[in-house]
Amino acid sequence: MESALFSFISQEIGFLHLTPGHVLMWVIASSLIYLAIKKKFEPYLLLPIGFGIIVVNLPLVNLMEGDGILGIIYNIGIGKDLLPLLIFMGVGAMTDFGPLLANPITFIIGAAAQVGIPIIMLVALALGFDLKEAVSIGIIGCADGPIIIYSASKLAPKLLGVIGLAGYSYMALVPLIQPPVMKLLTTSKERRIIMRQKRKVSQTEKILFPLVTTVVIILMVPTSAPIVIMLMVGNLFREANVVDRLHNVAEGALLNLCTIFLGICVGATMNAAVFLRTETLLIFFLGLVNFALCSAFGIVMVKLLNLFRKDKINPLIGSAGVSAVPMAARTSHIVGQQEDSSNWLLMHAMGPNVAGVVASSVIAGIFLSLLL
Amino acid sequence: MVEWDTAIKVFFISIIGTFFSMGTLTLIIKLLGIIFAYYGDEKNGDQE
Repeated sequence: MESALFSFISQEIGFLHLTPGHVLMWVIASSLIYLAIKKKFEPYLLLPIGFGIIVVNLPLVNLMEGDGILGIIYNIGIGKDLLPLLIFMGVGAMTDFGPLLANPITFIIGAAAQVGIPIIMLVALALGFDLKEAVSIGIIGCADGPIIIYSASKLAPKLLGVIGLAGYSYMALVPLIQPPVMKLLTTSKERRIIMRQKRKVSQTEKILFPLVTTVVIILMVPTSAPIVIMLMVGNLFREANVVDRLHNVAEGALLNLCTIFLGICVGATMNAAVFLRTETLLIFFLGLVNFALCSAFGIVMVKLLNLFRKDKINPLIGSAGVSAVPMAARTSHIVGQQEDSSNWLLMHAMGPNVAGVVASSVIAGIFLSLLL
Repeated sequence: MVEWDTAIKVFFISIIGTFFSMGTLTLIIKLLGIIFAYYGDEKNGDQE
């Protein structure tokens, strides 16, 4: 009787199986939840991620294995790519591509802001990650949550949690990371450039854009099809102005539902044994450098374009070429206002910002076509 | 074994491919803009 009782206590009581690793993960999760609630850093993601980390680090609870509830959601939602793609539909439904259509050259700025990705890929490879992991780490720099998750789930599922957390953390920290890079690469005179008002964009153009982009991008990079289709169908719902119910569901209920499950599942991939390694720190460090590098390439591209243009572009909008919509565009605007309070850069910066969303889909598609 | 050959190939193709795709889109959207400037439907135009 006594031995049965001892056996029960030693095998079934969670407290006896707690490790310092579990407790450390709770501390990390609590920090994320604190940042989400008190500092409002990406609360829609950090809150469910934090909760997911806590529950997966409770001993004797195998929520991610076999028929565990999170395991089922993970296998269908992330293993089969459903959640990031549905979220991308919501992103499309929320995004106004008007500023990009009014100033198409900003497509090139969006492309330039992706150059840091393959550079960091080479650095990660040199540091000992394999090629697929290195690409997934590189993609953190595109600052596009669904793309980061989508690529990591296909290329480096073991690192999904760390890469996802690094990506979303840096997206929340855009207002802290980008301004020093912007100020380092621009002069005060450049920051004061006032851009002229762009042309009117008709509704017909806005409706044609998702159709044309879908065809052109998929013809060139067929592997980007799932991402581009979801992004553009969401945007078509928005611009068509005749399917309000679909538009509202895509940018509202569906997006929120997927965000809940994605957040919890990403958090739940971070058990102590996987997360507490030196490579986690390395991934966070590479992600930070990558983010700064991608922002820098956007700025440098604007400066290059300005060499050939009469109508100068304010280089501050270059850093918005990383996706992080609309945080990166807002940061460009704020830094511009610090230099000249009459300079309104927000709508100009939205051009490269949404171009970054399209460009990150393209580069992710290219990586997947080359490596899968 | 570090896959440098593949990595270098991936490096260049990803950069060239991204610029090529986005460059093509730039030209197409620019062309659409020019067409709409001539035949545009200003009645529905949005102020940017």
